[in-house]
Amino acid sequence: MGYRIKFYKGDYFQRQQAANADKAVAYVEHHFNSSASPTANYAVVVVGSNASSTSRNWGRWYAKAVAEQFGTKVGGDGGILVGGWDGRGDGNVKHTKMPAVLLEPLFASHPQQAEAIRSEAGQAALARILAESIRRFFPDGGLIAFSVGHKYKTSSPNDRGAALAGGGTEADHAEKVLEKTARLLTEEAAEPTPRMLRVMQGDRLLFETAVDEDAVIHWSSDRNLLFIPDSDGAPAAPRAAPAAAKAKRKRARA
Amino acid sequence: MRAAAAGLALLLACAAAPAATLTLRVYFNNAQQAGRMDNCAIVFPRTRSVPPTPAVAGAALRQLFAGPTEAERAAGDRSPFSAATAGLLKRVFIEHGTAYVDLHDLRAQLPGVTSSCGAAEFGMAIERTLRQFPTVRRVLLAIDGDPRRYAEWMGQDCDLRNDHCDPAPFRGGR
Repeated sequence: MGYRIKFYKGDYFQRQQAANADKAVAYVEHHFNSSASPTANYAVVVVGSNASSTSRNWGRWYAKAVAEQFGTKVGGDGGILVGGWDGRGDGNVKHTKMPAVLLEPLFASHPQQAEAIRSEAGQAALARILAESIRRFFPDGGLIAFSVGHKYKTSSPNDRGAALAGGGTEADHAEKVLEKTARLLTEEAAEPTPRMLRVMQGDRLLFETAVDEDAVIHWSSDRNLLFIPDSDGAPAAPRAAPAAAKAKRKRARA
Repeated sequence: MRAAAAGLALLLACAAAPAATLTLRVYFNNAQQAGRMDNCAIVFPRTRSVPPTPAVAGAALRQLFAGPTEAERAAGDRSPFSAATAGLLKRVFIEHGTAYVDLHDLRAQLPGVTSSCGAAEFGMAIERTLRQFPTVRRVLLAIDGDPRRYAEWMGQDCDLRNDHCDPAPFRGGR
């Protein structure tokens, strides 16, 4: 078990054909979104018009994780655009025999998101989410096909995709995220890891603990409390904090 | 008598004169007006007055490809098009309900329009601008007469939706 990563180059159809020939288990093409409006922002994944349920679920899981991490919304239908917009982008992923996704996690045209795309921390966060999604949906390992959107096309070798607001290009930064993801997948332990619960600030890990695979995790926004109900059927919600402590916190906020 | 004749001549001249301008619609995005940041396919009409011409589709596209005015931008209008793309249209003609739009190769000036949001902005603005004319029911695009080049740029397959990228109509046409 374990992951092998291969970057595919050439025109998009040729990349998919080559990944099919290599019997890759999953195919990822990384882009960033772009708009004429600097305020447009959401996370979305394009899957082929013929996408399997694995591709669709993988895309939705990834888009939701990105939206949560970067404080944005998911676009499309619950995070995915099946067949792209009016078929645009469909040809990038519909010719694979394995599950395939075209990622557009952030907007290159959105100044704050462009800053995140350029930053080491932003790239690391995107890489971690992508690596986690691959571990989750393809736990048996295998060859993962990576494709850098726009770059290395035979028909258009100078294409680098959208310009990042503030400098840089979509393709060069998508490549950095994929390179970081490749390192995470190939350098981290190959053994199955337990399900981890993490608290993170940006890409900085504040707290981490293993939790049961089947545990249902609840978040109480009223009490800023993450909790797992007892497995023996005990009440789902934890006991209320003492009223005195609540009042003290209220005073401190005021 | 002479004054009356002159008045009549002026009246006839006015009646025979064609309209001084033609009013057309172009379409741009406006996130404030749409009230949401997550749907790039929402566009709004803006009017343009141009000299009268029978080639209305070309006139409308030329206005669209020049992008929003300063006042429209100040009011929140956005578009993939700007002064840099004003010369994007090579030609357009309409046959049997299909508008064939041939573009100059300005891909370098439009790098963001192949993203899913950018494609929606680009495609919807052209589609809505052309469909203001009742004779247009669908739109096909090409770059320098080659619809396959346009499809590859957009990551589209050549299939029924785009007549399998048949270049023949772009070579012929009016």
